[in-house]
Amino acid sequence: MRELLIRKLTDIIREGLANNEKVTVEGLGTFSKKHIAAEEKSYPGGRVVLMPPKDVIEFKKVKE
Amino acid sequence: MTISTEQLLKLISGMTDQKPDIVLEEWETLVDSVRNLKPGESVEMSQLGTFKNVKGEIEFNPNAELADEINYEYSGQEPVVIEEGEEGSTVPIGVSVSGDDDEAATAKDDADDDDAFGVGFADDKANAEDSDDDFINPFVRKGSEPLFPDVDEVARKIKEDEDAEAAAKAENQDDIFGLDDENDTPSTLDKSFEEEKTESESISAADRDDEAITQPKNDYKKDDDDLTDSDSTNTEEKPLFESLESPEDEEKPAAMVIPPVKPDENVLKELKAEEEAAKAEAMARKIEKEQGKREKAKQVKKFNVWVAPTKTKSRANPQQLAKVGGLIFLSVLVVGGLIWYLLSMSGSGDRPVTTQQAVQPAVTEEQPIAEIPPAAEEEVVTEEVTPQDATEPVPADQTQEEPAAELIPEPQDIAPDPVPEPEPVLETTPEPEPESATTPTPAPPVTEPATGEYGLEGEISIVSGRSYGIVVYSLSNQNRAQQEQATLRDLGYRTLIIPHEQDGQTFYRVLVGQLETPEAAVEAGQQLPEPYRNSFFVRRFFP
Repeated sequence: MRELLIRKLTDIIREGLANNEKVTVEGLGTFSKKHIAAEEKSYPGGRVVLMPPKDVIEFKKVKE
Repeated sequence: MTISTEQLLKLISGMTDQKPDIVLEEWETLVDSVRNLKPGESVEMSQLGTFKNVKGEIEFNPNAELADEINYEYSGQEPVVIEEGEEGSTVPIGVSVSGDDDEAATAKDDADDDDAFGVGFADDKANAEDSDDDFINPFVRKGSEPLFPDVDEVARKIKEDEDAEAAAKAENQDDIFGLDDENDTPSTLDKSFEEEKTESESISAADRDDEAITQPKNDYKKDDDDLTDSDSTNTEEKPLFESLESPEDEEKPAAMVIPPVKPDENVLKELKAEEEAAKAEAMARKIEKEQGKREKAKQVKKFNVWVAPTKTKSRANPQQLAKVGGLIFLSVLVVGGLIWYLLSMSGSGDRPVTTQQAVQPAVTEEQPIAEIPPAAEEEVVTEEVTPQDATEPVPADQTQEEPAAELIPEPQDIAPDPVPEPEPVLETTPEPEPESATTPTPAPPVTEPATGEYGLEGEISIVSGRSYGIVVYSLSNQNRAQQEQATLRDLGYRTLIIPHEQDGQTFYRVLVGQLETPEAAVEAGQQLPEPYRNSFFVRRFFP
């Protein structure tokens, strides 16, 4: 049962985020997609690397 | 989008036979397990991810599959090295591979270098020592007991001999015509010759260790047969001094040979050869000492020093040659390595990426860009076809539908539920494109002359070597990619499509611009209109 619940929850979250929507799960929190632009990272020694952009999932716990 | 508990339960209840109460209870347990996490605790949900309480805040780390699905637009994109750091600093923080290897390698090289030299030196040294040993050993018993305890005696004898010899010489020179020796009896002559003989023997013994071993100190002869064997050859050869100083030997003895007394010819003849040799040696020795080698004679105590000069001379040259050869070989190696390194750095463009991949394997899964060129060439070809495709009736359904289904990996295990068809994730990112198509975005800042080999505008030009483009789209639908390319081209950008294989799926990356360096590409990308400014990425291609 729990597995089924989690699977369904995952599907909903995935679909919502894929549509660039925030997904708020009642009682749990809000999932959203956050875009991180490409950025340059400097390392000791002078090496500079351009990190690719990426989309990550952000979670905010529901306020109690 | 908000999912209420009721909606969730409704969805679940349609999939299971469980009563809603039980489902609700299970759900609340699940939610509570997350909400009631204490600092440091975590809950893992197999398909979703992990919730962890970090200092009172709940953090969520999606599982890898979900993270990839969300980040599919940028999946496979690699970090690009914009600026190489100093040598040995090429490894980012946190990456286990470190320059220590380089240091180790350097250290090893140093060690090797040392070895390279050291082998020479050490070996030479060892050889020298060995050779010294070789020289010394003949005079030392195995128990390191010197064969000649009476070294001083030998030295003293040499001196005495020399003095006597000098006196004899003076006498002989005085008596060169034998005037004073008329009264000499044969016995005295014999005696004198015998003395001379012993003189010569002792001199030669002093000069040549071998004779010293064999003749004056017969006591030791028995002890070291090997010595006498090796030395006997020397005694017969009358070695080094003769060969070195033979010219003088020939001259001076000539004056000395004049027999002072004729009545003793028999004895003279018998001993003549020995006498001549002895005197020649004595003279040679004297001359040698006159030339400043007396100091060495004083060191007779040390047999190794006594002998070494002549023998080490002959061995020193090969050692020096070996050293010089080693140095030359090493310098050639170093120069060759340097040239190879420079060539490999400036030659193909693969190197930075290769090191990059080696350095950041976790971040980059993409195939090496070096593999792209053929594909890039194909794309250049397809790119020329693109305008037709773009002007061709672009399938209306594509423009309306937003080929999201192709862009987003379909969640196979999604239950049939009212969740809207996987809307195009692209829709958000590419949103600007329709705008850009309808309302032309502000004129793209041209960072470089459009007519040049590099720049944002114009057409992709064939240049030798690599170019860098700004990836603004990564689409799974080729037609869509071509549409975007056409749009961008209409705006004046030089564009290119590069296909990229990712997990068996082909993504078509639309590049804008053709720039010479990653820095220029980044700079140009930051000047792109807003839709692209935030999500561009730089990649290398070979036109």
